[in-house]
Amino acid sequence: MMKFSVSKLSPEGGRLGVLSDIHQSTKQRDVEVLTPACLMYTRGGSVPHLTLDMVRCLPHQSGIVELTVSSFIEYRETMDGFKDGLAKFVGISNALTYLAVQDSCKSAPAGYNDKSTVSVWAPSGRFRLNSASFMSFQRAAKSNITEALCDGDTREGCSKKRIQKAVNKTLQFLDEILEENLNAETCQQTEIFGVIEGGDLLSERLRSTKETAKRPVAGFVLDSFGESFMKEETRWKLLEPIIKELPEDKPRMLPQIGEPLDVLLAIENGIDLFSAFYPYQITGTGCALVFSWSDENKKTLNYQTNRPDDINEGFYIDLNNKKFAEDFSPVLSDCECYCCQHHTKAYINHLLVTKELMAGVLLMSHNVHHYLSYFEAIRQAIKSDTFALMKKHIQEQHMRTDR
Amino acid sequence: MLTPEKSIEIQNSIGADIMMQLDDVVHSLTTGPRVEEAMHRSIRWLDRCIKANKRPDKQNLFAIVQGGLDAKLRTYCVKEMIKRDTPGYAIGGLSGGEDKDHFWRMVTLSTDHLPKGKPRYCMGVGYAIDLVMCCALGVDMFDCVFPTRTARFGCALIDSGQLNLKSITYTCDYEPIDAECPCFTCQNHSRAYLHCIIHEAVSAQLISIHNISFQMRLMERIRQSITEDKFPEFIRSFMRTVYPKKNYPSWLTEALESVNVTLDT
Repeated sequence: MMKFSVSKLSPEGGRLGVLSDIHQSTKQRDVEVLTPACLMYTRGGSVPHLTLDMVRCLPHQSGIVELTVSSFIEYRETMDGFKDGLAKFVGISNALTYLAVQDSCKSAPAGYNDKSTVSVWAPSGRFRLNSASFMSFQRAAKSNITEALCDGDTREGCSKKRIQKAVNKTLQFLDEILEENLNAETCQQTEIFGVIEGGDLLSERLRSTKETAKRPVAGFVLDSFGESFMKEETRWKLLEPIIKELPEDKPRMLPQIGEPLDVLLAIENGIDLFSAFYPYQITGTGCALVFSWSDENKKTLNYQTNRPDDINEGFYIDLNNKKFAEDFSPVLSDCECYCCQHHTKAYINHLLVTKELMAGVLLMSHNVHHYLSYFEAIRQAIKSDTFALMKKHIQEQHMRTDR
Repeated sequence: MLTPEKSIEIQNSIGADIMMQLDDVVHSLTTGPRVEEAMHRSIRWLDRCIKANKRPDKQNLFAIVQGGLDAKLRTYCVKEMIKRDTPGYAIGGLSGGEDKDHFWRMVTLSTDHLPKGKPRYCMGVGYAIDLVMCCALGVDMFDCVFPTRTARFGCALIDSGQLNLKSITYTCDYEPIDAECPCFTCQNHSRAYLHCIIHEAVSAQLISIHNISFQMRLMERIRQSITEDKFPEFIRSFMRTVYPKKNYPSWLTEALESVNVTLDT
């Protein structure tokens, strides 16, 4: 089974960890994941907008790529015919895979889970899964780590009954999946992450947490904590008591959370893993990340602008804005990403105006580069006891960001 | 509205090595006096473009021959434009959905009269068989949106035609688009995978990369066969791949016969 060892507990909150010995059906490489980390977000197995050669240039990659059931469920025939699992099929050669049920970015529509199944939405429509069909899919996918099938349909305002059902079903699925995995041949096995549900009710969250913690899972996923599921204050109130009930030596993942300050607050509370969907969301609106994580970093990145009022931008700039039409400086002058090394804000603005595919390529290459660098900076900050300083710096920019 | 002078001013500031005159181009299926009017206007505008060009030492201004599908008008246009002695000549006003029968005749008419020592550029071509055929008729340069546009619609180009990767035919096709293609896409991905991600932006890129590579390699193969004195052989072999049943369209056989290339029967 996967090993998670805490290498440092920060007095300011948060911890450094190392994930190792992740199960591989044919041992291909030694992968050590340094946490806190973000898993590479993909759609259909590809990082949105980026071809493999662009992805290879990205720094500080965690070593784990996130694949979703929803993007492959309608291609079961393809997967069965290929026989060698999704990683090989997609072309992932230097990372392990994590199989998530739903997309971190886009919540599945509410009200489609029934007594015995969970609905997953593929481009062609709805697919219903129970633990047996889910594990059958997983065996074809050959993921290294798998989020157990879960019922996360607990939108803000839903009934207590719905929440209880979600918790019960999720636990039932987990037990069935764990048994199935145990009985499988070693080469067919996967690391199972147990999923904690419970909506915005503390009592249900605690019940789900305590029960899930009793099972022999490799890690924990705190599901349905995103924007449409609960108020912001509730999220931070629930996190602490949940984490208290979880063992120290297993990683905790919080999908659906990606905004720079939210990430720090989550880490402060003891979260180790995230999904890197945030750069994709930012790219989709034509924006580029420009935030800094310390005073020194701010000087180095030196966001160039010929308009003094821009120095007080928040986390990102909107390159659709006409004011960038003649800004011939890169997004960030010291950034080493492909976009900043070769292109200007004026060019990106032009690509957005002319609706060219290239806009997405450039913005995504910058945004993912920036986000991965941020996570590396977080790990360094925990190491050097400057996490609180970083949080203050990020908070200031958070206040200036229009949301 | 664009004037010849404004067009040249913008092109001078863009700084391209080759720039095009502003021409009055009518749809290839147009008939009547409008075609002749456009042809004469294009000649007058060529003169204005040449006069307006502020960087003749750094940028090559090409003329664009017009005249629609009318042999008399086109011949007149070519002869007039040759007098202006531009660095190169484009064959314009075609590739608009006209009969292939008319298309090839206008191309060969143009190349018959255009000077042998200057590049001939057929605009808006195109499909692989048209590229091969036009090369046989004496064309040197082409441009077309086709490879990238069709890529964005999920179509990959190979010698024998097109693969519509949206089709479920490719659900379990684990081969690359073309096993012999050295492009990034064919070296890294299968048809089945491209089919799975056909709605993602990155698939448009991957197929574009392949399609452009296909076009570039086709032109390289044409050049190589010419260098080796095997161009007619190449044409025959290529057309056999495109038409395995040898049901060649008559315009193709006639066009090639006009330059002494006979396809296999």
